Amino acid sequence: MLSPIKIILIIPLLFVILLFVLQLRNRTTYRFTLILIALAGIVFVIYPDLTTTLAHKINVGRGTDLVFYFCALAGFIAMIILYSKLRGIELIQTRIIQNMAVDSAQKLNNKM
Amino acid sequence: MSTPADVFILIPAYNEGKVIATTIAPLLALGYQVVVIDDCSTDDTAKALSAHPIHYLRHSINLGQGAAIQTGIFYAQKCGAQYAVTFDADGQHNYTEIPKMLEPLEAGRADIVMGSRFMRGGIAEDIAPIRKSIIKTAIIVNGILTGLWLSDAHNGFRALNRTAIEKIRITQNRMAHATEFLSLIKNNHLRYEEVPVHIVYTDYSRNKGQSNLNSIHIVLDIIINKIF
Repeated sequence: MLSPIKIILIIPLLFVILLFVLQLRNRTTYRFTLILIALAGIVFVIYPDLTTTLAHKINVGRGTDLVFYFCALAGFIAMIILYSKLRGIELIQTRIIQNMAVDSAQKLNNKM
Repeated sequence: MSTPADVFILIPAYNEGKVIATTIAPLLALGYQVVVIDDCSTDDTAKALSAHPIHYLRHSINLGQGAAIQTGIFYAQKCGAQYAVTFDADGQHNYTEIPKMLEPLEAGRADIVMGSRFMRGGIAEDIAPIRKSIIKTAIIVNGILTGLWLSDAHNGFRALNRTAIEKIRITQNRMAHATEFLSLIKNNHLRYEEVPVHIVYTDYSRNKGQSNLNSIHIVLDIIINKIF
């Protein structure tokens, strides 16, 4: 039986994966998400007891644990975004090298 | 009816200095346009080619076979090629079967023709049993991931007409490009056919080729590419 916190973490995680599969290179989406995560961090810094209140509501023992779980989630999202960007950069690099190869194709023994 | 000069044979090569001259000799003798895409070889591949009348392209860094094939396709397109054939540098493919590969394209029945080792009339000579098992598994994986159910997987012997040359855009640099090829066929609505071919596994090609363990990396690349 999944505890409430696990369900709460899994559902949005699945949603985030779906969202990012569709919007991985959308700048607005990932900036908006980063801002949301930062704002949440600010709120928890100003009201640290809030983490404990929220944690108890969803069956997590301590506020620290709740913050840790969400940090793990944020880290996962960051990895997905970074990988997607790396793939994009790799493709650009490949196309540049391919274009260079085509443009500098050589006649060997006057074949061309 | 095409002449050999209308056909661009695209040969991706990485450290094939020992065999590349032997591979291209009959192709040149038959009058094909031989295009070698040197994927930043560190041996004497370039030197082995220097005496032959070929089109020579070189990547400034090693990118992988998929990238090399796409470079060849870009070049064939730029040169106005009507047909392109991807051909292995290690001598596994049989040059006498090129006309058989081109026939469906010339007849207008297909945009891409893929060689098959496992359909009736095809031969995979001296293939190691474990390699055959892996390929058979790859056929199923390809079918599930791309929706195209073929009799062979990861066979580098392919022929493309002008339409396919203009539409195929490989983004998988390494060996996962073979599965991506099928996705590209499907997404671009290209007509395809399989033709039985005779592939010979020599000691050289077995030692040079990808390890069986690499198939795990290929599957992971394919799945990740599907997501991203």
